[in-house]
Amino acid sequence: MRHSDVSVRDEPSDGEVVRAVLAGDVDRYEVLVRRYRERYARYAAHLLGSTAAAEDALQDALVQAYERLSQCRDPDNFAGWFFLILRNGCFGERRRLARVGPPLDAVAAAVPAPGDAGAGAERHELRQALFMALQTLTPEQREVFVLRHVEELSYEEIAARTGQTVGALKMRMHRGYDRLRGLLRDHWG
Amino acid sequence: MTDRLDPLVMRVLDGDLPLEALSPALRAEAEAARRVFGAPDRAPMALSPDFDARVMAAVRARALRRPGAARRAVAWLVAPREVRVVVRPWMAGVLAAAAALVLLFARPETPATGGVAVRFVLHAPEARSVALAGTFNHWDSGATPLVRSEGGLWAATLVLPAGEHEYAFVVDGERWVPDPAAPGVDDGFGRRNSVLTLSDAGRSM
Amino acid sequence: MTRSLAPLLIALIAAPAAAQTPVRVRLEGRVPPAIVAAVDSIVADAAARDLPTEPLVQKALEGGAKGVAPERILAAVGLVHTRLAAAGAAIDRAGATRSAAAIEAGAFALTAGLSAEDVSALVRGAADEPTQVLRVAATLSALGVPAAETVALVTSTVAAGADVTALPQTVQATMSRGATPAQAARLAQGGGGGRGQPHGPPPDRPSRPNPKKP
Repeated sequence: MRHSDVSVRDEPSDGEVVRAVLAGDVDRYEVLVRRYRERYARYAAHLLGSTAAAEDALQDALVQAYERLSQCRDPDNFAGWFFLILRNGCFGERRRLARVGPPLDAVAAAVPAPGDAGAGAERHELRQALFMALQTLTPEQREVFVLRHVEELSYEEIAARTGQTVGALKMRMHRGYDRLRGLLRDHWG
Repeated sequence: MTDRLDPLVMRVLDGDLPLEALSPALRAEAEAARRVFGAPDRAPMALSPDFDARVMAAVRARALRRPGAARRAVAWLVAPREVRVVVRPWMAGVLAAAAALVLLFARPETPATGGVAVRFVLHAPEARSVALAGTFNHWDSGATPLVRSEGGLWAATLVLPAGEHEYAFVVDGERWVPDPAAPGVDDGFGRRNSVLTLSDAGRSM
Repeated sequence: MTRSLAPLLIALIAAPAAAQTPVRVRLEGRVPPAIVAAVDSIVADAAARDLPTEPLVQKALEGGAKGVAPERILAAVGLVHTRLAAAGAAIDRAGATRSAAAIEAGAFALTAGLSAEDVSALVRGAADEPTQVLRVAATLSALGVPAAETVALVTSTVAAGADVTALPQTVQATMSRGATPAQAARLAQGGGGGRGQPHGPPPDRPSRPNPKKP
């Protein structure tokens, strides 16, 4: 999810597309939809614990970004601005889900895993356990874990994206580690 | 054994300390931590194929609400509304016999073939194609196209066996439309399927 | 006064046979390859528990046809599995014999919003074959009739020796005249189904002696 991915030279920059859309060419917005829909899908899925919820959150964020496009102060950094909209949406959705109940995907995680023996099954079990354990962290702890270990960003990059300080992020991460360590005791080996 | 990670181990995980700086015992701890925390699935998440279309439909709808917005999205000015023409048995006297008759819960009329003839009708004058997909054709939207007739009605008649059947119409090959007049159930994918239940063939009621 | 419509398409659909074709063969090319093995194992698990497997395959094919994300398909198939198992258990608890059709009908009832306890109550109140009763109840529930009214209507109709398969159409007829699903169900139970416009809440006393309650 690098914001600074090199874009193909023939394609318009984000800034060009944003300005065209603001000038009235609504259809051009699809360029941004296509560019960013998958980049943050994984992040949203881990944050919300459900691919279905992630898809909804992405859709909402993209539509919101369109509605507030005129407020995007730096059109060439649409990615970073959009990420914050998505992030706010995810945190809001997380609070709503906390009231409503566990997502459907948790059912899939509970379905018996394929019966093949060996390292594959063990890793699958660990993944499931980690997935479930992550859902018990606070949203902020889960976010820093996901950005570190799924998106593989540095603390500095995370700080730049989310506006938190590196020190605060590390503290959150360490609390998350302690909690995960307790929950994943059986897998520590 | 405590559940908390040693602070030195955490510094290694943070990238602030090399692994080699740890004692063998802590090194093992750090490696275990790396293995466990490195386990999450990093596979990119695939989105539904109609994701882009849904987002752009919502975007265009908002664009039209704005005064003076450029109206290039003419094809999407108004989402077409399908009206299901359903004739219930008590309405049979009013409409012609050839009109649509969908049986919510039908008894077999042709016990010899072991099935019930059911006619599916959709009123969709704007559609280019309408198909029927459901449990009876294993959700193959190519297997049962509906035939268009005057007035924008699309129809097909199938002989179905007893049991529960879930189905939906597929408009223009991509839009899944449940029957607004039929009972519906959650399809488990965030949409609704229509249901049709047929009693056991050959059983006299 | 016949309106000639375009030629009708009549297709004879064979009843789904017991799965002789291996599950993987049926799924290949129709569902995301990443989940074929997982779905196959869910199906194998269901078969080992004496549960019907066709609804599981159907749900996977449906997800594939609708272009749903693989994890979501798997979650939905898992949910069908859970419901089939719950329906089987509910039928067992009611002291009836399991049949594939009855379990599928029970799972359908659960999908339509009834609970496992409702399924047991319906099976207990069914004269002989529970499948029919469960199908009718599921259809009523899918129409919007609340669980309590559904169970009461279906079990009382069976006890009275009347035709359960007529219930959904009767209830819908009443609904089309403005009744809520619950009202329509209560009217059908009272024997007043469909007669005249419902004004306000249904009468407390039925218009004919109460059928024997189970």
